[in-house]
Order: sequence, then C-alpha cells, then structure tokens
Amino acid sequence: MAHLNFETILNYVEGSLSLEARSGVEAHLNQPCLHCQALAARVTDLLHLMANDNTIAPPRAVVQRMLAVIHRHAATDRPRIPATLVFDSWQHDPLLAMRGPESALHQQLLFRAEGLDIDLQLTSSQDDTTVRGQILSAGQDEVLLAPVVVLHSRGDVVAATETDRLGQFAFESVPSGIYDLHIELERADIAIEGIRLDR
Amino acid sequence: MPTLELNSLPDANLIQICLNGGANRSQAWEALILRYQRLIYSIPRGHGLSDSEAADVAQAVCLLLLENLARLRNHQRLGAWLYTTTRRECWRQLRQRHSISNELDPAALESQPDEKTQPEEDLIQLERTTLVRAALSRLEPRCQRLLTLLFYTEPRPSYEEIVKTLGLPEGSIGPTRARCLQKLLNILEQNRFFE
Repeated sequence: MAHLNFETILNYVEGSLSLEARSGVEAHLNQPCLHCQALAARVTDLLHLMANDNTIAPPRAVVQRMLAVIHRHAATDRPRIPATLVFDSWQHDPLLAMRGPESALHQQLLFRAEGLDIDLQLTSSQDDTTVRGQILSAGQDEVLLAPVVVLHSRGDVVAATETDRLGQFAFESVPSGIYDLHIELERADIAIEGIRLDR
Repeated sequence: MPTLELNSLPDANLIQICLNGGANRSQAWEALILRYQRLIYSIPRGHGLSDSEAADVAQAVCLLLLENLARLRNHQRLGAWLYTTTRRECWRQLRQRHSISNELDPAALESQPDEKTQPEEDLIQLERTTLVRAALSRLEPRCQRLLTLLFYTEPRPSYEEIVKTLGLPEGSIGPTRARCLQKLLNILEQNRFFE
C-alpha cells in the first residue's frame, strides 16, 4: 500500500486541504492504513505541543551559569592553570589605594597565563565593586573566541558571563568578599584566585 | 563522541555516560542541562520569581542534579525529577523572599496551594514542550527560524512576511515547512519521544 506523503498529512492535520482532498485522505486512513494513522497522530501531537508551549528560554547568562556549575563539578579532569600577577597598580603607586570622600577606588591588575593577558579593573564604591576585564593574546592584542568567565566565592558560582568581540567582560555590583575568577577555555581553565573586593 | 551526537541520545544513555565517566562525561552533562534548560528556568518564572531568583533556582537545581543523579532509579523519569526538584527550590526561594520561618515543615511547602491544580498534567506538558524545543535546536538554522516563525511566534506572521524575513523563494514555504517538521519529528522519534 502506498502511503500518504508527509506534507499531505500535515495539511490534513492543519485543516488546509480542500474538501475533496480531505475525503481522499480520510478514505486512505480508514482502509485502515495504520502507518499513516500513526503519523497523523504524531503530527497532531507535535502541533498541539508547539501551539501550547509556554516555556521561557533562560537568558544566555543563566545558561552559562548553569553550565559553569556542571563544568566545575563534573569536569574535574579539566586542567586548571593558575595565572601569574604581572602588574598591580597599587603596588606600583600605593597612594592610588587611598580613597577620598565619596570617591570610587580603582585598582588595575594584569595577569598572564597560557599566552594570554588578563587585564582586570576593579572599581569599588562604598557598597560594592564593578569588575571589568579584557582577555587578549599576550603582546599581540588578538581577541580570543568568547571564553566563559566565571566568578566564584567560597567554591560557589556567583556569576558567569561571556567575553564580547573585544575580549571584554564585566561583573557589576559585586558585594565585598574574596573571589576566584575562572576563564574557561576549550580544554582548560585559567584561575585567578583570591581577588579581594573588601576595601 | 562530538556533542552533536550526544544530543541525539535518549536521557537514559546520556545519564549512563554522565555516571560512568570517560572522555565524554562533561559533554554529556552539558547536553542534559541544555536539553532541560527551558523546564528548569520556566518553573521559577511561572512561580513569579524574578530573573535573578530564577537564575539562583536554576543553579541550585544543577547542583542538586549533580549530587543526586546517581540515585535516580528510573532514568526515564529525569524530567519528572527535575520538575519536582525545581518546584521545591522555588518554594525555598519564595520562603527566603518572604522570610518565612526556617522551621516550617518542608512537606508543608510541598502542599502549598498552587495556582495550577493538575501538577502531573503540567509536568507532562512542560517536559514534552521542553523536549520539542530541545529537538528544534538541533535542526539546521533555516529550519529553526522557519518553524519558530510559523509555530512559536504570536501573532503568526503572514507567508509574505516570512518570505521577506528568511529570503525564501515565493511558494516554497509549504514544502520547506513540511520538510523541517518531518526532520523535527525524526529527531523526536530517535529520542523515543512518542513511546
């Protein structure tokens, strides 16, 4: 027995066939053709589900946060490479670490690992800190393909983001504390540990 | 095994890889989370939680899944486990928000009146719509865009608008739509969706 083609079944389920074509399909189904009946039932089910879908896609940052949990705990085989501090603006000029009344406090840090420069700028107000960063190939100003950057506190993921096309990322309004920053590359993580934001 | 192939595996097979370790373990975990991301995020939003509260719930559920997957007896019931666990985390989040006493019996929270009266039906509907969306994401981009415009966009755009948006030849939407839906159905059948 020749079966109905998929488009005909779809049009039948959607009710877009002419009366004559519809009668032809029904005659075929009622022979009975169990194969086409089953296919029509599945198409009906699928269209019903699509029409009644109230799910909400999580924002990208939330998906990254979920995956960061998985990567951190499930992928224990991923090597973690500690980054080396190569520049700290406060060590360079300790006066910069002094805060005037109502003024924000800035600190610039430069880390290096795996041929990458990780530039961090910490801007603290009275209540919290904004962490801005940029990841570039060391000495070449070459932007890396969107690695995920994850902020941890006491082993828990606090926030996660992806770098933009300039290799930049930011975490706004981070409460005081000591944090680890992990940059998730394809096969390894770069770890910057013990960043103090409690000034 | 590339992530694309892992995505085509039914839950039970993915869970086996997650639990047994090996080179693909991390990718299998990722495939599971991506498959159920909509379910995990839609429940807290449906409970009226904010974006950031829903993100906290989603993160907590991922951690609980990591801790409990090995204890999940029926691997076919992962969606149901995620549904129940996510609802529990929502109540925990709501309790924090409203500063309800920590001594409140968790069982009492489970029996909190819900706006919806048929949780089992809700679960089935939510799980199945989530899995259809996950299958949709495995189609080629052109099919994804077309089916999204045709079946997930309110109000549904006219064929003329779709032709213009997707740059398709006039008169090709009907056959293309059928081919894309058939591919979607094949993916779902491969995942034993209709069993």
